[in-house]
Amino acid sequence: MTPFESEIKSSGPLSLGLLAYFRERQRNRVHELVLLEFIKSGMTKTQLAHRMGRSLSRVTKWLAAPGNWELDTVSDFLLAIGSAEIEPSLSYPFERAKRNYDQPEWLLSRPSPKQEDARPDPSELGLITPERPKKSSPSHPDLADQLRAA
Amino acid sequence: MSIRDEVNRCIGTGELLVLRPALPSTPANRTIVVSAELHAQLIGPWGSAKDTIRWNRVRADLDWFIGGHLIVVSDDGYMKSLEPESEGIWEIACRNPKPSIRVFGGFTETNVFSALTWRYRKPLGAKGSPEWAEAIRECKAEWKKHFLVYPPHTGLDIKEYIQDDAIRI
Repeated sequence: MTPFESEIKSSGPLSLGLLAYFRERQRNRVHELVLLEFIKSGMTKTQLAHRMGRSLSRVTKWLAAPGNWELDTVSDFLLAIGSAEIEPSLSYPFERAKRNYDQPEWLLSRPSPKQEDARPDPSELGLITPERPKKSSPSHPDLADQLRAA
Repeated sequence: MSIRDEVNRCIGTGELLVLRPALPSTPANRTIVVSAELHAQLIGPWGSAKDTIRWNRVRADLDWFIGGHLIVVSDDGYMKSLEPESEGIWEIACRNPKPSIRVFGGFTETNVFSALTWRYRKPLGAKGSPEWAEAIRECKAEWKKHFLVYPPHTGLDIKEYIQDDAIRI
């Protein structure tokens, strides 16, 4: 169960993180709704700006990203684009079926056990690699050598 | 060898992680792999209420991409390619609330974005500033560190980056 799911299932107060996530998601959803309607309409941005009585630069910026739109702005957009209005309905994302496809098949999903030497041999990639400096022998005798000598 | 092998090697070592949408019902129609550092920022825990709000909104924005929703590619849109476009470095803009954040990365192939670094927008200043150049340099360095000789995927048409539901405004 994801942290958001656990939170929804509990009866405690909703966290700031969950609220923020859904505010952003909602903002993106409303923006997408307006943008799809605009694309479907075949209108130009100039025509839309004229219809809304706004500057072209303002309308372009509004269409590009979900800013702090008020419901009034959304209403203006939908009316000007397609003589439309929002028909509110609700969806329940935590009750929908969970995805059973997470990523492309070629992609590893989790880190594998320690792979220090997983980086490919650069010669395979056509790179010239400088020779590693050979380890110099220690200046002091190894402990095992000392024991052997004793 | 291919860039896919490099992506998998980095996932194997834990340098990169596949970002899973926070909602189990969000479909994975596109893919974002993120650096371990960025993943930690996205998952938390966070030290303040401000960061909690800020990073959960970034997470929602990245999940939006993964979910296969409509993506606007433009200066003021969801994402854009940074100059020079031939180098394939992109920014994803997470504008709300302030301070606005920019996530930097590139496409390893169509529909697969690798998000490697991030910066607050304000200190970057105007486009073309030394700070912007440094942010792009940093992302390019991270790219080379992870993907070696394989450059970011580039193309002429937006569909070569995002197969469906992407527009330029």
